[in-house]
Parts: sequence; structure tokens; C-alpha cells
Amino acid sequence: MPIFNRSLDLLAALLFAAALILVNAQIVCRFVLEISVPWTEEVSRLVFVWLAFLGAALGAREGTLIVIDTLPEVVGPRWTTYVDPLVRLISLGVVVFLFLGSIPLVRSVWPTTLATVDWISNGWAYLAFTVSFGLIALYAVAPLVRSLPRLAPARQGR
Amino acid sequence: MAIPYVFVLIVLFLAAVPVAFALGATSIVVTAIERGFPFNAAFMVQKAVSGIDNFMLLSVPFFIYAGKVMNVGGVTHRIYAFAKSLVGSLRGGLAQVNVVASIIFAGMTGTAVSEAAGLGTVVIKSMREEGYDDEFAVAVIAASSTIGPIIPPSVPLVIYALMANVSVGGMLVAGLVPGLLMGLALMLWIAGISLRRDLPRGAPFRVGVVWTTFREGFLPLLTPAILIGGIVSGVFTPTEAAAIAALYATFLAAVVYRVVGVRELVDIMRSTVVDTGVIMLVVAMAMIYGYLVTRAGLTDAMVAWMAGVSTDPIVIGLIIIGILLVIGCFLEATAAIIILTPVLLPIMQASGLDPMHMGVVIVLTMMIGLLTPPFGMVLFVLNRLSGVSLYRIVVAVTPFIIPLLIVNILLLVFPKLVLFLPRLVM
Repeated sequence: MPIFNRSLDLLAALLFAAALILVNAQIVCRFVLEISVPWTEEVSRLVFVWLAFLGAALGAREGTLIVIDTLPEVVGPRWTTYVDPLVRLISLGVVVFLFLGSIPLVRSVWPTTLATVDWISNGWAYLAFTVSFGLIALYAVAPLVRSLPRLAPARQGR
Repeated sequence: MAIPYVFVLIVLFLAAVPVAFALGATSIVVTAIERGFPFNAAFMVQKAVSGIDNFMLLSVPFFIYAGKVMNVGGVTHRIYAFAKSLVGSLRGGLAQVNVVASIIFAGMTGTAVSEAAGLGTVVIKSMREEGYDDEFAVAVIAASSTIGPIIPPSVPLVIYALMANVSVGGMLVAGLVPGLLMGLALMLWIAGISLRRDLPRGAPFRVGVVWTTFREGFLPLLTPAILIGGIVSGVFTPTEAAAIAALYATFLAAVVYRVVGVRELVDIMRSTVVDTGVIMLVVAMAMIYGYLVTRAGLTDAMVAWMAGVSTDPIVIGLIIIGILLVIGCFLEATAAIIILTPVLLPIMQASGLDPMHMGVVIVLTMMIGLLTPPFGMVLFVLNRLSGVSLYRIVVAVTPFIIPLLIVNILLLVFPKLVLFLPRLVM
């Protein structure tokens, strides 16, 4: 898992660098080289969609998603015991439902391509959503799976 | 039919379901009530992805990144020194320096949090050394950090422009005069406090010192010129201007000042992607929610209700400010702008309020929300930086909300303060 996470971190930085280079290249081409490069805007948009959805998955991993935590702060530890599992379940339900809903969309859009680059499928944008929500689901389930072996002996002991 | 949209969402928000998933869950529940379950979620995914597949939104990570690089790149010290040479000789000088430094730094950063975090460390240390009390120092930093997202570049203004379907360039330019007015109002407020408390003056004003600090800070000071000049002149799109600023910030920090290495840059890029992703996840889910809410006629019902209350644009504007001030206490500013703009837009249009004019008013109101508990992000940052308790920060910062609110009401009553510049140059 650490190697997997580090690879995703590196991919995130690479996506940002790619977007930065693409947009600056667009400016150089227009003002310095005086040539029109129509594909840079469309490709940088695609890179941005990947950057945004990968960032969302990393945010979920780090627990930095935006939450209104007024009530948990007021209620204290009892919230963590009783309500938090329900909150996690609702979040996981949404993520899995939309993850499954995205797969047929990726398939149906895949044969179409970007307007300016005919070898890049439009499906890549939707695939970013699928990958992101898959990762978010994985990060939500992983702690539960990791805790299973610890729970099993405890039950046997009892 | 529209009631479940609001009720389910509020329950999930209160239950501390992450805002993005609360929006997604509400959309799923309400669609399931309408169509039955299971249903094909492809239209939701399509709305979510197309919602962020926008070239203008690409400016958001560039603005965030430029601010972060400037923060670690030794730029804040140079700007602070330059501001000190300009207004440090006034009574309560260091507090005034903070406001001027915030105005300059606002031309480089796009969020209040990065502004508070960037200048906070330098200002707190300096004000402590000069004998100012911690609470006053922290309150001044908190209040002036709200200038950051009003003067371009601004992440919340870009997000608002996208949600309200107004020109991103125009929206950014519209923030310039209001941002300067906020600075002026805070400086007048501080002058009043300084007189009452008999705060100390700094070193006398010397043109030579101004020139030296200006020379040392010249390269970072070019950033706002590149950004604002590029957008205003129409040479670059806001995204291109942001990309140039991001590249320029990297050049300054890594090549000119040599304070940032490749490893740090990679880490800043990664954290920028995370910050962007967290916002964009809310944008994507809000796109689904906004589509369903509009289709269910909730916005029409809100417009009709507002029309029953008043048709006077000023009264409607004041009601919007009041509602947002309350919501701003509980909801993160950007998330609130994303969720509420599609709902407020038809109300503004129906009452004759210009969406670009109201963009600045709304964003400023939400920035005031950053200074109020329990969801005051700026307060949390300053609590961590200064070690002053949250309660003491809240008590100290509350009076500073008054000048900001006065400016906001002036902006509401006199739309030309916001609109004359974008109309002049765009």
C-alpha cells in the first residue's frame, strides 16, 4: 500500500506539471512561435479532470474532504461510536453507486474521440471519475478489511 | 416536491457526511423517490464530469500553487519589509503594515487561508517583538486575510463566475477596487484603535528604505502586475495568466532565491492537487444537485418567495448577505458558494441585481464567514500559528468584522464601485 500511495502522489504531481507545461506551451506557441496549436486547450482540460478527481481521491485518503463537523465536536466521542459508522456507510454507498454508474458511461463514450486529437477517447474523462471513485471506495473499505484479522481472534478469545 | 432536496441535504450536513457525498446522497435519494431504485446513474456522472471539464477552472490549481510557492519561497519577508517601509511610521504601524502587505500579497494568492498562513508567521513574530498583544496581532491578520480572495487572483471568484455563468476575467477584475476599499476601511479602523490605545509608531519614513525594500521585493511585486495586467489587457485568459504566475513563482523560488528544491516543488504540486480535488469534488457533486434542484422547481419557488418579501434589490441583497452570514458560520466558504450560487442566481436576476456585482458581495460575505466560528478556517490556521486559543481569537477578531461589513453594504448599495472597472477594461 505505501508504494501504491507514493505512486499516486507522484502521478498527482506529474499531472499538475503536465497541465502547467501545456498551458504555458499554448502561450509560447501563440505569442512567440505565432502558430496555432488547437489541441493544447482540450488536452489540458482532460489533464485537469484527471488532476481534480485524483486529488479528490487523495483528499479522501488523507481525510481532508470538506465536512461540517459542528455536531460531532459538540457530541464528542459518543458520535464516533454511534453515528460515524453510519456516516461512513452513507458515503461508501454514494461512492459505490456512482462508481458502478460510471462504468457503462465510459464504455458507451469510449468509441468517440476528442475534437482536436482523434486518437484520444472522450472516455478518458469519465474514466477519471471511475478511477477516483474506485480509489475512494478502496480507501473507505481498506481500514475495515485491515481490522478483520484483529477482530476474529478477539471473538475467538471470548 | 422540492422539500426533500433541502431536508435530506441539511440532515446529511448536520450528520457530518462529507459535503460532496451529502450532495450526491441527496441527489440519489430524491431521484430514487421520483424514478424508483435502482436507476441508471450515468446522467449523474455525466453532469459531474462535464461540470469540471472547464478550461477556466484550471486557473484554480495554478492560483493555489503560486500562493504556496510564494509562501515557502521567501517572498512574504520581502513584501512585509516593503510594506513596513511604506506605512510602518504610522501609529499602530505594524498593524497597518499587515494590511498593506495583505493587499500586495493578495495580488499573488487566491485564498484567505494561504494569505493568513503566508503572512501570519512573519507578522505575528514581528508584532510580538514590538510589544503588541497577541490577540490584536492575530485579529489584524485574520481580518486582512479576507482581502486575499477579493483582489485577483481569487479562487472563490473563479468558482463563483463558473457557477453564475459570468466572465471569469470580468469577475476577477471586479474584485480589485472592492479589495482596495477593504484595505482602506481596515486601515481606518486600525487608526481609530491605535489612537485609543496609544499604540507605538515604527521607524520614521525614509525614501531610501522604501527604494531598497522595493528593489529587493521587485521581482515578487511583478506577479500582480503580470496577473492583473495580463487579464485586464486581454492578452491572456485568466487560466493562462495563472499558469504564467505559477511558472514565474517557481522560477523565483527555485532559480532566483534558491530556497526551494525539486523535492519541495513536487510536494507542493501534490498538495495543490489535493486542495484542488477536494474543491472540485464538491463542484462535481453540486452540478448534479443543482441540475435536479432546478428541474424540481426549487429555484422558482425561492424566487417567488423572495418576490413576496420584497422587490427592492437593496432589500433582497441585504437578505442574501444576512442568510450567507449565518450559513458562512457552518459551511466552508467555497462549498457554500458552489451550492448556493445556482439557487441565488435566479433571485438576483429577478430582482435586477447584476450577477457580477453580487459575485463580489457574496464572496466578501463568505470571507467574513471565515472569521466566525465554528467553521472559521482562518481562525484555525492562526490558532495553530500563534498558539492563541480559538476563543480569544474570536473575541479579538469580532470588532474587525464591522468595517468589512460596512464595505460590503457600500458595495451592495453602490454597484458602480464593483462594476465600473470591468466595464471600463473588459
